[in-house]
Amino acid sequence: MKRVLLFNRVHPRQIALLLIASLLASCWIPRNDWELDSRRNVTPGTTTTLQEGVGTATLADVLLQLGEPDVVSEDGRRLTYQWTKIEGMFIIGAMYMGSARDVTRASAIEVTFDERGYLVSAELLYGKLHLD
Amino acid sequence: MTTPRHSYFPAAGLALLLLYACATNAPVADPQLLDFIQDGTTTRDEILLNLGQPSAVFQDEAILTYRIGEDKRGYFIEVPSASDWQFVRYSLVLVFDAKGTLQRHNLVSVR
Repeated sequence: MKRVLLFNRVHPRQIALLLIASLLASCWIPRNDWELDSRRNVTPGTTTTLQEGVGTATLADVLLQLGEPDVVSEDGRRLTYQWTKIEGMFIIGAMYMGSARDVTRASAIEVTFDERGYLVSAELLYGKLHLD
Repeated sequence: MTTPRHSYFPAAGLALLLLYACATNAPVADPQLLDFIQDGTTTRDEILLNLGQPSAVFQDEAILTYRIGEDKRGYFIEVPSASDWQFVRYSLVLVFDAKGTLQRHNLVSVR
C-alpha cells in the first residue's frame, strides 16, 4: 500500500528527467570488430563477387572460394554463410554504477544453386542489432 | 599390524577419477598433416583414412570439407560444432572426380 502511495507521488516529469539524466550519463563507442566465434572471411562485398559468377560458377567453385558454409538446405542447393560483427559498445551510468554492453549485428549471404549445381543467386541478409 | 590390501581400493579409485578429470582431449597438431594431399593423385579413401570423418559432405561425397585448426606445432582437425568458428583457422575443401580422385582443393582461411 505504501509503495503505491510513494509511486503516486512521483510525477511523470520526474521519471522523464531521470531517463534523460541516465541517457546523458551514457555513451556510445563505435566498434568494428568480429565477434569471437564468428567466421571472418565473408563480408557484404563477397555478395558482389559471387553475383559476378551467376550462371557460370559451380557449387565447387563457391566452396573452394569461401569454405564450408554455416547452414546447408536439405536439398543442398542453398548455402548460408553467416558472420557477426560488434557495431559498438553502449555504456550507461557512471562512477560505481554502470553497465557496458556490446551491440552486435549478425549478417548472412544466402547462395542458391540450380539443379545442375550452377550459381543462381547470392543475396545479402542483414540481421537486427542485438544487445549482448 | 598390516593394512588389508582392499582398503587401498577406494583411494586408488579416487586417484584414478581425479586423473581422468584432469585429462584433456587436446588435438595433436602436425605440421605435415596436409602434405600428402595432391591434386590428380590423392584418392577419397586416402583422405578419409588420414583425416577421418569430414565436417560436411556435398554432391554425393564429390566434395568434402574439414575444419582445420592451427597452432605453433602445426595443423589439427577441429571437431565441428554448429556455427562456432572460434578455434577453426581454415576450411579445407576437397573436390573429387567420379572415380574418387582429388581434382581440386583449397585451404580457405576463415579467420
